[in-house]
Amino acid sequence: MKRIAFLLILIALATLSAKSFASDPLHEIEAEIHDIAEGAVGHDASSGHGDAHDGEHKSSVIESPKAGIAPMVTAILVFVIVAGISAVGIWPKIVGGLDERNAKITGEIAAAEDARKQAKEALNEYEKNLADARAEAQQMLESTKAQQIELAAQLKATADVELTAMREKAKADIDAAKKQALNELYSESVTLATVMAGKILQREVTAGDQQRLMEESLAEMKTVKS
Amino acid sequence: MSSMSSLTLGAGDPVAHVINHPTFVNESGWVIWSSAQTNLVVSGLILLFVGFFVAKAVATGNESDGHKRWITNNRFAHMVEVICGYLRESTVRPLLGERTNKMMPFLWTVFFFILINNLLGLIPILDLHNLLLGEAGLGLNPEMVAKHQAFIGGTATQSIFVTAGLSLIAGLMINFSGIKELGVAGYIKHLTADAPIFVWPIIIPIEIMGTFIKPIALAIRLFANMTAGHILVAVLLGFAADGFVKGDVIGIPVGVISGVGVIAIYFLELFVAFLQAFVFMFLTTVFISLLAHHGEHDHDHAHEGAPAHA
Repeated sequence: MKRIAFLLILIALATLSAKSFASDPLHEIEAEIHDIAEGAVGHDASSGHGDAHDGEHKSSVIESPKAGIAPMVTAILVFVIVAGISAVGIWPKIVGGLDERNAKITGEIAAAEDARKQAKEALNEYEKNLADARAEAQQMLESTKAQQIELAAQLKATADVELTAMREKAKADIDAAKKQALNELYSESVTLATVMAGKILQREVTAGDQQRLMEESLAEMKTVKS
Repeated sequence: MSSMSSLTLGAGDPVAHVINHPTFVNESGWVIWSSAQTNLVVSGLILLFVGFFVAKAVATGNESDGHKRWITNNRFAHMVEVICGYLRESTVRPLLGERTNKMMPFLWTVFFFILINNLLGLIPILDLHNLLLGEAGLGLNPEMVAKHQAFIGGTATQSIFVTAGLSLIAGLMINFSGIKELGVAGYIKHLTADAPIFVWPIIIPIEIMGTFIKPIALAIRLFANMTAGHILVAVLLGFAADGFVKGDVIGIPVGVISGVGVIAIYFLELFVAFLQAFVFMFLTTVFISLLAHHGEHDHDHAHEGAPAHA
């Protein structure tokens, strides 16, 4: 909408300017003649705007005092009034806004800096505690491990002793059983042999014979065994 | 010349297009009111109205607004706030130090008052005025156009008397501030520039002349910069008008090139409007600071010439 309005203003200006281009030729000729005439008489360019027609064709950028004093006084008065009013109603508010915002931002930055320091200290404390806890845990772990190893060794030693005892006992039992079995086997073998020998000899083997045979057999078996 | 006068709407030469135009002249030939004066009043009103609006937008809001009370919501107000902050913190405070807060209202007013006047000069108010009254024949007062008079228009800051008035205020502020800072004895002693006593007959007149030359330089610098640019625009517009009116093989290219040149120069003028407002304010600040730093007199004078060429 603003752009359309701006374009319309430009078009209006262009139209009016075009109209101004089409100025009256007679007026142009008159103006040219006027320029030539004024040039011939040596027109004073600084004569100001008292004569409006002079100002139309020959002007100076430095005004005469008659034309300049009023703007100067106006400039001073307007400036003093504006400075006075703005010094009371405008600049204090802007200064206040700038300073308060500056103080706020500075304060927030300082608070953030403090918070960062506190957070860093807390982090350091936490890391220190964590390191201590880890060291303690490691120490406990190592202690427990050592105790476990010791306990295991102790258990192993006990088990070894028990096993050795059991093995010895079992060995002894086996030996005893073996010996008993061998004795029984010998006895049965002698008895069987005696019975068989009696049947073969057709006579009764006496206890004395049996004893003698048994001893002889045992002696032979031992000999064979060795 | 005649076709140029058509484009500049009644003006016989480029200078006539940019100078101050009287509205009322008394029988003795003294101008009572002119277009530049209307411009000054309008710029003052603009500064006040816009200033109150910006001040309201920049000021910290109510606590009920929460964190939004710290935010300047309006973009234009934010822009003005940034300019104010820059001028105070980056331009004035390094020079005036503790005196910054006391001097800023005056310096801000100087900057914005000159800036608004410079910018008003870039709006072809005078051309619109003459078009509507003279060419379009709206019947308001065509005789004024015929007499080359205007209610409003031009650039007030391209009147040497207007810039002289502003420089007079700046000069008074510079010297009163110096007297307040140094005391009367210190101010008089400053005129010796801490030179050996046998050099005083030379130094004191130079320093006294310098007291007047500083504001005069301010006035001439602003006047010359604003006038030169506007004359250049008027001359190029004259070329463009002559070229298009002639309408032949040479005229059309001249008109096109001049038209493009006018647009480029107008952008430059926009920059100059800000620059000259800043330079006036900055040099005023520099001159104020020179009348405060006892031990840096030589150092300050060594730098005095640098900004003077801006």
